[in-house]
Amino acid sequence: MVDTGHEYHHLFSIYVPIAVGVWLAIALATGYGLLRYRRRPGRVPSGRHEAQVPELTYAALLVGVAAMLLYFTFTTESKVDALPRKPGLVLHVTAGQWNWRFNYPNGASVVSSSLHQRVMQVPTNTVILVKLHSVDVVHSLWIPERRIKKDAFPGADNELKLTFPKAGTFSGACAEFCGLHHAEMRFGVKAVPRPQFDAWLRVQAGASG
Amino acid sequence: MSTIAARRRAPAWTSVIGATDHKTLGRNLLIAAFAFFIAGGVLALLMRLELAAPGMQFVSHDTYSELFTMHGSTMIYLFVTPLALALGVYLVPLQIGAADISAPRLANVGFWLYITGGLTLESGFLTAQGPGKAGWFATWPLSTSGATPGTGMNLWVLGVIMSALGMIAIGVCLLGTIMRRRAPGMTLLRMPPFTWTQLVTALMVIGGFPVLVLVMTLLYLDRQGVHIFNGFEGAIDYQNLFWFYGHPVVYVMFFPFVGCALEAIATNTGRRLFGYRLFALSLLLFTALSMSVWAHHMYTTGGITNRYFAFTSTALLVPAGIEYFDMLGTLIGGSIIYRTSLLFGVTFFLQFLVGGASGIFVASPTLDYHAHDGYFVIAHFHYTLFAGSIFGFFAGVYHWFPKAFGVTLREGLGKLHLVLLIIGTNMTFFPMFFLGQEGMPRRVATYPRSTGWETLNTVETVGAFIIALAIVVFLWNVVVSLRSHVAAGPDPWDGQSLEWATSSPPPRHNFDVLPPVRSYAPLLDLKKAGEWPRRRELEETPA
Amino acid sequence: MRRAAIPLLAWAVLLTCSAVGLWIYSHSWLNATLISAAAALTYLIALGFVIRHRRMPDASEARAHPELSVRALPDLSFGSALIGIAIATMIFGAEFGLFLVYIGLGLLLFGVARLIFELRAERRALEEARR
Repeated sequence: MVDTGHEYHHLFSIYVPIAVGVWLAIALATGYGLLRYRRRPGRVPSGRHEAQVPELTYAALLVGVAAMLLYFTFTTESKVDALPRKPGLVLHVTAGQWNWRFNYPNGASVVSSSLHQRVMQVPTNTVILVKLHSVDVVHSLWIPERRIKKDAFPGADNELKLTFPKAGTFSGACAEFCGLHHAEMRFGVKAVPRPQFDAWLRVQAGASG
Repeated sequence: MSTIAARRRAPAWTSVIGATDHKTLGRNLLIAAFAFFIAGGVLALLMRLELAAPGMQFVSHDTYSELFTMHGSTMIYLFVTPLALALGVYLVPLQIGAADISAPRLANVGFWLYITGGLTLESGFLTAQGPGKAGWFATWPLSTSGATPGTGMNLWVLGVIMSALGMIAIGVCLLGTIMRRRAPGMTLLRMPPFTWTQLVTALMVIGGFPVLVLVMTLLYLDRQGVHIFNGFEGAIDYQNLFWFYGHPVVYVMFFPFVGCALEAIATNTGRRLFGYRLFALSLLLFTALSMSVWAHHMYTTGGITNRYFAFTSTALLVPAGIEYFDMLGTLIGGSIIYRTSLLFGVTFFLQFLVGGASGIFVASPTLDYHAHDGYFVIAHFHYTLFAGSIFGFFAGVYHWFPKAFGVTLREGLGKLHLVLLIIGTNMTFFPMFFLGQEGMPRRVATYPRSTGWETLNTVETVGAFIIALAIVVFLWNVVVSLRSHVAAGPDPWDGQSLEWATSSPPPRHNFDVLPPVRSYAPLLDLKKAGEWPRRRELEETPA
Repeated sequence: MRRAAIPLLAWAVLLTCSAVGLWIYSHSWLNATLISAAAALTYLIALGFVIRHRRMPDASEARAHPELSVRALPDLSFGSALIGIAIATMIFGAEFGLFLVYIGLGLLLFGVARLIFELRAERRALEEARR
């Protein structure tokens, strides 16, 4: 079962140290250059204006770094993008101005709107297939704790695989600017163990009618 | 060979309307762009005031949408893009030893399309329903007349079309100038680095900007009831069309400023640019890639091949790395004077790197699934565009101000300007990386108090006002310096390229005598051979 | 000067590589078409510079071609300003009415006429200066 949060963290822990390391290396080299080569009487600047072999070697190194980053990105992306053939739960999500409608298989639904932000529930340790679309403009379903989002378009479904390894309550937001109350188009996600979720779902179905 | 121009005695205001002298036209473009910068900056300050604390204190949701839309639109369409081209219009003929740009009248047509386009865009503020408010890229279907009705939004679309046409006209002139007007002996591989950046910029303008005109025309028709875009496919098509322009434009807003920074650095280290040939080659690769990466703005749409664009986007680090190598190669082994222009140039490279590294980060779709449409991305592009490019711009300003106006800018005020701007930009934009990581979406007028985002937002707001202070210091520097009576002379910095071989400011025809060009640092060659005076007044030789 | 077209050609080739990659990997015909169009446009521009290469004569040639030793540098062009404003007016007319499009068209004609006037005056001045 793919944990999108974990996959993100894995890639993050490759990219960020490299980025910070590169920045520090260049900043140090720049600082060194600035201080060591300050103009002094009698200092003649070097007439050497190219070093093809070192520079091309360095370029080859950069290609290697890019290739490595792409390898890690592609392997992670395969895991995150792959859609389950037999999901444990299919959740239909409809986005509109300015609310989220979470529709469950048994007819239950939870609506979180800009006026009434509500918490919907999901089972932990289950592969959830989200089928997402919009009834008007483009919105985007973002659950920051899961480190993932997907856009909701009018006219066709987008699909997103979600899993919640740990129980807890997390926030959700709309990430694509969708008009006046985009900022308030938020919702909550409460991940609970499956039996608890099933019980809640039965109650919701009764309530939704 | 010398050129003689027939002088006409005309009143000064005519040069604002009908200028075809590239120096006057370039100056007009620069001033207009800077005026739009102030306008866009005020909009940003208003946004930051609102965001400092949760809840809506000063503006309504509707107004906030107008603020961020017009801030982004003004800065991108009306400030940095024209600024990049304006520098080219002013400097390229001087750097290549030409008397003027190609087709100066076409450039003036472009100038007027830009001005009228800018005024049209901003005139939306005067309409009942307000100006454009669907974001600077006007995502369809939010930008339809149903979702965003009103004349103001229509004027926004038309304004974008007009100013884009203006930029295309100027880009065409720049390309023609570079291809046709170079001094004898100046092959393409002997052009100064700044002119090389203008060459590739012109190519991107010509290759990418027409698609903006196309997509905005289609959007306008769509808003009039002609069903151009439909459903999921239509929305994806809109984004593909828009971003095909939308990515090259950010490189148009980058390369000329790399050129500025490199020239300021090279001149003040007393050496020619290191690794010039690879630099020129990497520019071609860099810009060709920049035309090939656009759909990385669309990773979360599910409508494009993420991997292809991840590949091209990550590949950008190769030519970028080469430019950093060349910058370091120029510094190390040099004889460095800590002039304001050099300091701005070096800061550009260090701060842009934060933007560049975060760009490689979001080039990865899996990482972008979290970062997209959040404050991480806002941090990324403000580091590249503001903490990056604009620092390059100021490097160019301090470097070339004496050439254009005959007096240098004050070093003391310049360093104060630099320090304030470093503090301001980092204070404003660095915390945004963390806010994005925590889940703060972009384009939100407010955020829940429970998120705890208030502290960082307040810090950012303070930073924004420090930026404003830095700009005031800069403007003060300009005013005070222009009042100076100390002439800078033709070559105050011991320059390497042809623009320093003529008076400051240059005569109408730019050069009375063209020195021989044997490399990409022609004046440096002559100085080393003892054939050119160093930092002394040039005696005017008869034509 | 023909050699100057080489970087343009190189750029067009790089874009072509990108276009080929997109045709193979992308489901979207629009994407590949956009980049192919940019490549095609660059080839055309490069070709244009190869065909119509014309360099400003240098000092050695000036004696052989004395007529080229004098060039005209326009200082002011109200015609071009008018053309820019005219096009903008016509575009503005899309929003505020056909009458603006007509006014813009009229301004455009004035602008073009003024431009022709300026170009002819420039040519006359050049001929006089060369005599």
